[in-house]
Amino acid sequence: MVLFLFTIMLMNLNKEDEVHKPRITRLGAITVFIITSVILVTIFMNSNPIVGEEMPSNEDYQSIKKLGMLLLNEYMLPFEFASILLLVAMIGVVLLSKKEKIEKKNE
Amino acid sequence: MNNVINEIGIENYIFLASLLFCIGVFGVLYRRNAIIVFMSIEIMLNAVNLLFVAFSTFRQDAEGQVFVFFSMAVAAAEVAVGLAILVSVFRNIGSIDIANLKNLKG
Repeated sequence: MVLFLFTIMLMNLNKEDEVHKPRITRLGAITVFIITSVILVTIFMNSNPIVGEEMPSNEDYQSIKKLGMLLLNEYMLPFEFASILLLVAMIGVVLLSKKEKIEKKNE
Repeated sequence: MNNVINEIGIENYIFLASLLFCIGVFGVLYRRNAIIVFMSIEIMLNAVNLLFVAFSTFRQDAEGQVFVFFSMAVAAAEVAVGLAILVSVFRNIGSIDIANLKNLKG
């Protein structure tokens, strides 16, 4: 999200150079929006209510300590894979952003 | 322990998440700016994350929140790579209008 804010700061969103899609595409988008929202809301309105309330137990289930224990014991392998994924993404982003400058210097 | 889900109601969370998802779909279809399209995709991802957390609290089970952690990590990687691709597209084409990307061939 912070990355998004930086990029939005970098570009200027003016009303003038705002390009619009053709009118039929916009109409299609609006109709798709209305149809999907109506369908989803009616589906969830008419679906069976969730039976029974979960018994409020005094057991701790979402504190930071519990989440950390779960993350580092049971989900250790996905955690490491996520770190590898973030590392690879970071290296890839640096390469993607750097490449053009190097080529321009060579020209 | 007072459960916040039982006070608000799980149905309201479902409605909010589906509305957010529809707003995301609408943004992807309506806008031409690629960054706005990315933000709409983020809105859709976060709608699903909201449902995960709501049902995790409803079931009193922490595994949903752990899944949301991983989903957030993958979303962060995706956004970083996507924005880097957008930067190079902007350098080559000079705009981030997604309609210009049809000239990619050749």
